[in-house]
Amino acid sequence: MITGGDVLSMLIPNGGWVITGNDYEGIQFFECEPITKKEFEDGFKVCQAWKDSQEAAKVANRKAILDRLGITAEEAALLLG
Amino acid sequence: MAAPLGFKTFATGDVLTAADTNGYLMQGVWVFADAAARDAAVTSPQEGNMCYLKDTNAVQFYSGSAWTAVGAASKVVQVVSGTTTTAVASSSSTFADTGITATITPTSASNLIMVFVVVATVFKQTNDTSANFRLVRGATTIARADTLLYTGGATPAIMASVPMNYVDSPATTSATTYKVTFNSNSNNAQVTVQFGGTTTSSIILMEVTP
Repeated sequence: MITGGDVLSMLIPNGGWVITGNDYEGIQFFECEPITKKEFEDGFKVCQAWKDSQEAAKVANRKAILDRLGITAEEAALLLG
Repeated sequence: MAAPLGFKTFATGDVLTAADTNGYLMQGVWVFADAAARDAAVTSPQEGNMCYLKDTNAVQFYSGSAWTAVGAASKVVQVVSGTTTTAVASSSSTFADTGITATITPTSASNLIMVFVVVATVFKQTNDTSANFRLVRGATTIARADTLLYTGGATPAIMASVPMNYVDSPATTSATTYKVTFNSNSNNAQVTVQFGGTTTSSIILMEVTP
């Protein structure tokens, strides 16, 4: 489920906001530039794709590091364990 | 009335003085119909004097400043509580309300307020922040819990519930509001309380006698 916090994380990645509930009226902009209600509501439509791409990038980065080290994910877990 | 002198074993031939009588023999438990009768009879009570009041069946001692019930324990005067399930997410270092709040009006300025808080399902969603919490009376921070859910970057996400208990002396009989605020230590990372909007955070305010 996409939350208002997810949308704000996408639109204002440097943070500085607080949201109570999931509505635009519950947003407080502290250390950031405010966005409009339309930008916020439109954000819900694209946020899942953004989250998926973030996760995919994370997985790709992890795989690239493991490939460079020449070890498996299980071996990496053992090292960190 | 004379101050109690303690215990003395009188020997045969001892002269019983007025001071002995007042300090030893008169230091039993005095029986009165009520507190008014006692106060009329004992106008200058001394520390250690004891009495029994027939109207309330109470045994009291004089502490040096007041008549106090023997074995008196704190009593709960009133209990007020508040709950919320509304999720609040923050990526700001500015403290914001969690929605956890309750207001109590103490019946006596000398009474204590016991505060019990549980912040439910606190979720740190990125690995470069931690959560700070404040228990606030009016606009005054009275307790803090800092750097919670810090993982040193090793774990990207972590959940926990946060208890905050505190015994407060507000010294007032005015309506007094307690609440919990929080922030995200790093401006660019998200912390959520009541994550999911279904779990219940609560605050219980209990007024007790000292």
